[in-house]
Amino acid sequence: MTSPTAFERMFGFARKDVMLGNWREQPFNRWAFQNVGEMVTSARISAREGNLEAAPVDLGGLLGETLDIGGRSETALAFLERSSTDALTVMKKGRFVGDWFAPTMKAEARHIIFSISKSLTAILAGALEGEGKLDPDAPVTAYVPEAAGSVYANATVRHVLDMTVSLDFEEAYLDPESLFARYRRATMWNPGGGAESLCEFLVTLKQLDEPHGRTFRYRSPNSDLLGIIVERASGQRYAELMAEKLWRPVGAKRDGFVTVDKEGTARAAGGVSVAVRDLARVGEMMRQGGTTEGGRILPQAWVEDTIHAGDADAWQRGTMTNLFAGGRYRNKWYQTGNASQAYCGIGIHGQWLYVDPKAEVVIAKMSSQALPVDDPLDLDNGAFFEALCARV
Amino acid sequence: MSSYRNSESHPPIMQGSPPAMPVPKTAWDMPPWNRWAFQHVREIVPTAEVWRGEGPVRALPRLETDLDGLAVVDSAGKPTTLSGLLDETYTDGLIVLKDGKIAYERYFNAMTARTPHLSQSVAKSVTGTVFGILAGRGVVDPKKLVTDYLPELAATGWNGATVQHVLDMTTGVRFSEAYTDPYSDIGQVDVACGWKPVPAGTDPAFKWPRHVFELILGLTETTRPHGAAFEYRSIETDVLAFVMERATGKRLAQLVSEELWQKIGAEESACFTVDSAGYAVADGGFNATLRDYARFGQTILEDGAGIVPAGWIAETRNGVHGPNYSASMPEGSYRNQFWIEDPRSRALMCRGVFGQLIHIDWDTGMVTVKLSTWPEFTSVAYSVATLKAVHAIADALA
Repeated sequence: MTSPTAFERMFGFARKDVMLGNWREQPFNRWAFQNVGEMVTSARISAREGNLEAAPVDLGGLLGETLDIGGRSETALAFLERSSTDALTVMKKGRFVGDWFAPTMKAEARHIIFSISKSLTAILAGALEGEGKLDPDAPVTAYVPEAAGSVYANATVRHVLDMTVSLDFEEAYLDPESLFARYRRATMWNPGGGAESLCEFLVTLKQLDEPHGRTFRYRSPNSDLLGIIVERASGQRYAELMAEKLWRPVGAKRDGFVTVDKEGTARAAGGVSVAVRDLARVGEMMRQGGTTEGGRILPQAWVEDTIHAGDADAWQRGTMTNLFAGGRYRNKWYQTGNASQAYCGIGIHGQWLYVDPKAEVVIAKMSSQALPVDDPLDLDNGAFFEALCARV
Repeated sequence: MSSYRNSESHPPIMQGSPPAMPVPKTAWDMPPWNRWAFQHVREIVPTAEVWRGEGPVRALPRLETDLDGLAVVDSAGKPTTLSGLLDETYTDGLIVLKDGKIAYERYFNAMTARTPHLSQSVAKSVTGTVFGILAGRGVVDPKKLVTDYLPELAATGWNGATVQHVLDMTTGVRFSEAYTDPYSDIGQVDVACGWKPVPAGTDPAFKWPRHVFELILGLTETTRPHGAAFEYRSIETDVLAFVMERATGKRLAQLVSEELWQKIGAEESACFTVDSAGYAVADGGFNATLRDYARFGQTILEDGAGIVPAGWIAETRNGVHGPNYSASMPEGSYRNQFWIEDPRSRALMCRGVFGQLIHIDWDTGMVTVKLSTWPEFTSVAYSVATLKAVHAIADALA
């Protein structure tokens, strides 16, 4: 028999063992989250040509510092390993102060950011609002008329942005027979996809017996719909719009990618893959109130609204108060409600883009945690960022 | 459906959200869909990146001549201009390097300098070149048997064949290259390599190979002794790639990145389509920008530029010329995954269906790349007219 390849020694499995049916499961996710384009059809979000990334900076002594994480004393490095971290980048006052990569991830690799894609999609909405092309208070049907027979018939873009659509849909990540499974097939993320398009799926969804706007209900199809809304408002397809409005002006060094369905419709709720430093640059742009050295990307008012406004009562009526007891969700970003006034984008399996405006720190963390949602570990991640921001 | 020329109105393929004319997964390489699809392969099938690395881009100085009005002949042999021929032959991009400088560069049909374009069987020459690099380091040996690297192929038609036979497509393995028959071997490659779903209306009892290697293991017949004759069969290149992967323990996309794309000063990362087992389709799944194909050609023209062994390129140009190599090149030959135009110029050519061409000519110091989306897999008339135009360009730039 042949000896194991470098790949097999690194990951403990062969490439051929990774399939559309298992790519999001451990141990395969460790590789697949960096190579989503090999699993799912993808469109390019092009960075400016000729942009080259600087070499990573060693996190140095920070890695060995003992932190208090949820009542447990643990070094930063031990926590990174415990939380299946693939990449971490820390910025302070706009400078990269340190990067960390697991042996299984190279600095140039991209990693899927799952639901932080939502936060990026909302940035596109904000940019279009600034141009007068998108009105958050307009009905969804002003942009997507074919949604008239669905839950979205009487919802506004604002409801979609803040996840207060009264949508009858459960995020049953692990049940293959659910409505959620049909959704996953429409996105091409699971075997058997391609019969129904994402857009066709979305306009079949139904409403709960409750008005919109009352309860925070985290439901990803809303964010995919937002992707279609920004396409309709701009007349551009998602990847092209993202490149023009965010990726190039934010100074991204590497192309991003987003998975697309059979019609080229982007998985705006979770399909974006980017390099870790480029993700941090998005957080830094938010910290700077919507600007970068390349100019203004978002209206300042949109950023202020995103990081301060939102309905605290709707959050309390939702199911994520265990994560942030006093939190809010606005424009697809989470406000932690902590004294730090930190805000963040979060994706399943341990993706985080964390901004602490008081400490002037931005942290991007990419992981391949075993479970999509892991409540204790998610809490520990929050505690880790708080502790790290205090030390940087 | 019929296609459209650049000078004709463009149907709104994949325009809109969602598009009114989505590209069907069953026919994306067919007209008119290929006109959009060959520039957007990543959106149609899964792909693996061929990373360009962090090194400097090889600058291509400009010394341009406006050749739009150059007198050439069209596919019927009638006088036209170069612009006219490019329009007739569904061109997406054309670049001419003369002595390493850009003499002429044109994009059509929404293609840009940064757009990766599928090059079909040009992938074979890229793969063969990486083999030459590995052979130069002694990592692989063309004189060895295929089964020295892939013992499980002892049960296939490749038993007893050398790697050189595979490089030259002279094994005796039976493989049907009938592009329009779904059950033909090349039709099965379409399914195995992940390019197409199982065709509608085919026999439900037919067992389609799940991936390319499984298809290879099922090719057990030979039609003639190994080495007896050249017969163009795409699957030979896949066997070559599996030899390279087995010998190095690396995947093809990584090999092409490390051995070529990180060294030739490519502007953009390239990509390969991959099958369900992650195998990069060496026989035709490579995508890169027009200029990067030109840099690849220029590297060959410079006798390898220290990246590819000069001896390998010299050997590649020493094909055995004889009749019947190709209808469009009656004096041509095939060696080490390259075509040779004729025994006098010994110009090397990479060719792919639907109009892909890299022409590398030592006599004129020229590299010409043409990326197209013809309505047909092959067209002798378009091929002949294109080659004549390459020579007309050479005369004009002489």
